[in-house]
Formats: sequence, structure tokens, C-alpha cells
Amino acid sequence: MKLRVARSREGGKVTHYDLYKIEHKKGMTILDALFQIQDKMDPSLSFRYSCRGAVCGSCSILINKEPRLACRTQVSEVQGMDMRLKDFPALSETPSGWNSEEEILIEPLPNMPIEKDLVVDMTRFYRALETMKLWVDSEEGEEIRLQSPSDRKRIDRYVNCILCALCFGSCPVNAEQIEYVGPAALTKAWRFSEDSRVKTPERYLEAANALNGAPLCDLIMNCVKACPKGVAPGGAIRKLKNP
Amino acid sequence: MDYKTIMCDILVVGAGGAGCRAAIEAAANNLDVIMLSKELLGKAHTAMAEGGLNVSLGNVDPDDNPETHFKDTISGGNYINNQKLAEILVEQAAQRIFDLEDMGAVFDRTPEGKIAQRTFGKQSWRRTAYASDRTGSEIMVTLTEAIRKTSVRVFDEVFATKLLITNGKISGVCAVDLKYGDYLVFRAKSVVMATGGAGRIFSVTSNAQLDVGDGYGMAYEAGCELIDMEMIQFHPTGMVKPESAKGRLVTEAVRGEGGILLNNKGERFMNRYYPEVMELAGRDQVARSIMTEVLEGRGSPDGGAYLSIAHLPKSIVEFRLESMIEQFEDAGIDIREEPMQVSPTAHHFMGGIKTDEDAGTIIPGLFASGECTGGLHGGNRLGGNALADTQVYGAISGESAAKYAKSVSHLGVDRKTITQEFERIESMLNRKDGISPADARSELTELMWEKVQIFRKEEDMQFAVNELRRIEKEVVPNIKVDVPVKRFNPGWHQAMEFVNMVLTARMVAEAAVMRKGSRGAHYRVDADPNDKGYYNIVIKKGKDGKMEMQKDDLVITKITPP
Repeated sequence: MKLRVARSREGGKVTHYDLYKIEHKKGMTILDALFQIQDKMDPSLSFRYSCRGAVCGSCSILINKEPRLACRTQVSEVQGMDMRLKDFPALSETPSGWNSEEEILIEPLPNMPIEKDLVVDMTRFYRALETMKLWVDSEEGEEIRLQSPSDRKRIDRYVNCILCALCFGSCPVNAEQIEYVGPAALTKAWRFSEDSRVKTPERYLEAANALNGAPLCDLIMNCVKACPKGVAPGGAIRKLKNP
Repeated sequence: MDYKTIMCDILVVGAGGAGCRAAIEAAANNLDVIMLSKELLGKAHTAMAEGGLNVSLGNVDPDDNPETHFKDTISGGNYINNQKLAEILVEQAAQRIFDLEDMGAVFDRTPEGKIAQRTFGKQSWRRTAYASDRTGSEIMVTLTEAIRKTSVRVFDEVFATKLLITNGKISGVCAVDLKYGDYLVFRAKSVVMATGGAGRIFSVTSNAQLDVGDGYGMAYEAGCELIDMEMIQFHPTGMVKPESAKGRLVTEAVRGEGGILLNNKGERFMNRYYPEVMELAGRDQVARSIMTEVLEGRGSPDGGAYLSIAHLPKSIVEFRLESMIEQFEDAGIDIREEPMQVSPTAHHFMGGIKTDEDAGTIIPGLFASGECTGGLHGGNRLGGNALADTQVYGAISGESAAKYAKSVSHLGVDRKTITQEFERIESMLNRKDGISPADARSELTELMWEKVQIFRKEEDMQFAVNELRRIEKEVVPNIKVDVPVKRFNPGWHQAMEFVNMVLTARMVAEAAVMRKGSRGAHYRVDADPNDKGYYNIVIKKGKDGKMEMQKDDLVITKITPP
């Protein structure tokens, strides 16, 4: 099995692709393959990782033109995968020389500036969490809060978000509109507005419906298909648009 | 050697559960707080904690109280815990979970809407608060939201390499910005270490990739005392296959919710070892039971035991163990239909930097909290007590660091020490010949896994000690990074980490040799029956640069060891 990996020494743009032949082992993930390259062939290859178990959301990359967590993608299964995403240039333009029959294409997550190789600058993604004030305002007093299991269930899906930014990298709107806060931030806003313990749900709805938020979403739903945790951001955005 | 100097009142090294909680507490004092994170903010190992957080709220079992939590913690810890530290843990855990709730954490609920609590090993009552089986992730996400709300300045992808000491007191930290390779000096009035554990010194571990013991190494070099370093928790249930997932945690909640362990004959073998508590015996006990089955030929084909939940209602499995379904699905196994194969995996360091009730170390101005500290959990940590530890002692360390920072001014830092440190790091890039960090690392982790594991014996451990001394002398000074670039160079990062891994491993192995009897997680097949083990081993760097070890008396407040 071969991996064709996008490289960028100085960041900014992909300068070239390196081809690596990996020794495939049963059950091997793309992250394992990248480690093999790093340990045995090219210790300068940069990519992010931490938990290797789809909990931390660090290893988000483009695998055969689809945004995926490297740790949750089996090398043996890549060829048959199809998310059926709506295309935009980063997903449709392929490098010359890529033999899709024999090589897995590995590239950095789109819609964010490249820092080096597969590492991208996530400032844009995180900044929205800050500008939209996506946190709970603290309350005076220390009384014990109650939340019924059914109220808890209403936000169950959304709290599974691990901020991996795969939705952001899969979104055609994020590709075009640099100011768009993206699916994860909007979903988080919806999660807070739906939390029965929150005293000021309106503030999250207002933040989400600002001009750089939900109104920019075209309900393309790439985010729903790309989300590795079943959060379905597009569903939350639809609700934000029609509360 | 160029470097940038950055000033702050309080520097927190590490951005997991304890580091974030410390930074939040410190910032509440109107002080300038900087938090360093080796990875992106929010990606720390705390997110991988699955089962829950122990707090004696009594929401489902009203008879529970801090007193019982204390007793369970001490007996679970095989009586060598620092009882002063444990008293504080059980008393303050409730307030800290309310803090988390206040920050927006979403826990599972009882029908009345209170925080739900589940059964965990060695606990008298259902005490472990949880968010499905992704409790750590929920806490980590919540803490990062709370951090964004504060004035804390987060420097992520910055790696601290050395603690700076001036006239015996803390004065700052040397660090490398992993993004660009810039050298940074943080000058602070007080410093909190919250650097996590070092499961990665073993080849099979549940730990995140970056848990290599940076804090232990730095603290040792700075002159801190480290306690109980021989006490490594091997979690009984790690994944066995596929190879790439080997060691990944299978939460204790599976057993807490009723999962049972079977051998290849279909026998519920815990009946043979701990018939009264069965699968919910201490983690050290369950780990040894599984290994005994395997060693005596009753293991699963891939060298583990079977963990079955076939008899549990699907609703419980799907709602409370949803990550486990996903985790095994990725390995091609539907746990609702077939049993999981599990075997022990290096999980938690009970030992670490020795701290007092204010989270202080012996170095004035230096505080520590979370897994990088030792003493609280004794010889075996209860499941659910680690998350509680991060929150209780995270807050205490932040508060203590703030109090200290308010009472002092910045100390000078020694330019020569700083230059030497950055030259040491730079030299790894410039070396022409040497050993690659990846090769060095795999040699070390295999050595530790084979020689300083669950069943220990003198000759193995002595072999490990000798090897580690050799590695320290011959390999560490010759670590060579293949590609001499500074921008995001993973080989360089591994080289910097390796020094800490070797030091940490050596402390573990040397202390393990010194402890001749069995106690808690330290189980010897050649145990000296006369060594009851009621002491703590404390390690310190001696004046001559050699590792010094001594046995200290236990800190006992309420429970005398049997």
C-alpha cells in the first residue's frame, strides 16, 4: 500500500507530494501508517495527534479527498469509502500523478491556512468560540441544579462534539467565506440555547444568527456526513434558522 | 542563543483537567496567568478519561458520605496513601463538581434530575458521577470553555523543558514553541506543574501519545522530591486487538454496569480470586487475575480475557456505554453480540511530585496537581478518583499559587543556565551521528513493559535499572534528529521528550527494586514476606547529581494500616 502525502515545509501552500510505501498490518489506521512513515522513513513529516482513539479530535486530515480522523480510518477500507460530499475545489482538484487505484491521498484539512505538512492553523475555527462567547455564564449562589433526563437528552447529540473541525473543513461555505463561523460553533450555540439550565438562551441564538453565522449556511449538509461523532451540525443549524 | 522573555504572575505548565482548573482559580485572583499546553488546548489526556468522577453526593445511595469515600480510598490504596491529602479530596469533591456544573458540564441524571452516580470498583456505594462513558471529554470541553471566559493567556503547542530556580525558589520556565522552534523563557512569581502521567514509558498503555513524564523529569532535575514512583496502575481492561488499538482503555464502567470476565472455558474466573467483589475488585487485583488466567493457559486466543455484556439490557449498553460500542465497532466487533477481548494496560501513575495539603512542593513558589503528583492514591488508585483529583487539587494549586504570587516579586533568572538549556536542545538538531528518537523510544518502552510490569521480580527490575543507567549515559547524549528544521519537527519533539522518559523510567525501576515486599500495584513474585510495605519511597536528586532514595513514614490521620 502506498500513501501520497502533501508536503509544505514553510506552510502556506502544498509544495509537493511525497510517495511512501508502507508495510500494511491488519487493523492499521491511517494514523498508524503516518506513524510508520514518521518513525521509519521520514521523521520530519508533521501531523497532529494525541489520543489515537477518536476522543481528542486532533488528527483531522483529508483522506482521498474526504475529511476524516486519521485514527478512525482503516487503511484497508479507504478505497471503498464515499461520503458523497458536495464538491468544492479543495475536494475536487486532484494532484497530477495521483494513482487513485493504488495510492491513498493524504492532505491537510481544507479551509484553514497550512502551517506545515498536514498541520493547519486552527485560529479561525477556535476564534468563533470566543467571539460568540460560547460558554455558560456563571450564576451567583451555589445551589444544586437539576436537569431532567429528558432535558438532558435534548442536548445529548450536541455535547458529543470533540471540536475536530472536520465539519469546518468539509463546508463549501467555509471554503468561500472567510468570515463564516462554521458548523461547530453554530451547533455549540444551539446546544447552549437548548440547555434547560441556561438562564439566557437568547444570547446564544442572537450570536448564532448574526450575519457571519447561520444566515450564511446553505444547508448543504457536508458537515453532517463528515462528523465522526454523529453530532449532525446541519440539523442544529436548520433549527437555528427556523426556531 | 536568542530567546524571548515573557512575564506573568503565575505560569501553569500543562492544560489538562488539573492545569485548566488551576488556571481558572488563579485568574480569579486578578493576576496575570499563562497556561502552557503541549498540544492544542482541549486535546489533553483528561479527555480520554471515560468512567467518571467520584464524589459522595449520595444522589442514588443516600447513605454515602465523605467519610466512606475516605475509607474506600485508603483501603483501595493499600493503606499507603497520604491521608491528609485524601481527606481533602473527599471533602472538596462535591464543591468541585458543582463548579463544573456551573461551567456547563452535562452529566447524566437520575429520574429526579440530580447528577447520576454509578458503581465503580472497591467502592461501598454508587458514587461515580458520569457523562455516559465520555466523562473526561465532557469535563475537558467544559474547562476549555471556562478558560476562554477568563483572562488566562493560553500558549498552545509550547513545550516546557526546564524549571528555573533562583536562590532555591522558582523563578520561571524554559520552553520551546513547537510551531516555529522559538525559544521562550517565562518568568513567573509562582509556577503550577500539571503535566500529567507517563503511561508512554510502557509499550502497552491507555495513555495519549504525549504522556511521557515531562513533569517528573523537570521536577526531579529542579530538586523536587518524588514519591511512590514504583506504583504504576495497570488498568485490567485494555483492548487486545487490533494491534494499533492495543492498550486502549475499556472503561471500568463496563464492569460497573454489570459486565463479567470469562476465560476460554467460559468460567467466570474472578470467582476464584475475589469471590466477594468479583469483577469490581481493585484494579491491581483484577489485572493480576486476568494475567494469571492467561499465563496458566486459560486466556483468549489473542492473550487476554473475555469481557461480556451479553446479559445486560441493550438500553443500558447503548445509553451508558456508547463510546465503547463505537470503539469496538472500529475494530469490527459489535459488543452487543460478542464479548470484548481485554488485557491489562499501563494506565496511571499513583506516584509523582510530592506535595502538601496546599499543593506545594519543597521548592518555594512551585506547586503541582493532578497525575504528576504522588501520595494521594497510595498503592492503587480507585477508578473515578483521578478526575476528582484534577478538580480538587487543580483548584487548590491555583489558589496557592495565587496566594504565593501576591506575596513576592519576580526573581532574577540566570542567563547562563538558560543559554545552556537552549544549547542542549539545539545540539540535538546539529548532531551528525547518533541514535534516532524513534528507535531509542521503542527500546525503552519494550524494556519497561517486559521487565517492570505487573508481576515483578528482582532480577528483571535490576536488569532494567542497569539498562536505564546505560541508556542515560550512552543514548541520551547521542540523540540525533534526522532533519534539522525547527518548524513543527516531530523528531525534535520526541528527542526532547526522551530525556524525561528515561529519567521517569529510572525512578520507577529504582524504587521498584528498593521495595522488597508486595504492596498495591507493586506485586513481586519474589516478595519478602517480612516487608509489609507500610512506607513511602521518596526520590530526590542528590548534591552529587546521583539519585537518592529513602523510605519515609506514612502520613496517617484516621486509619491505621492493619
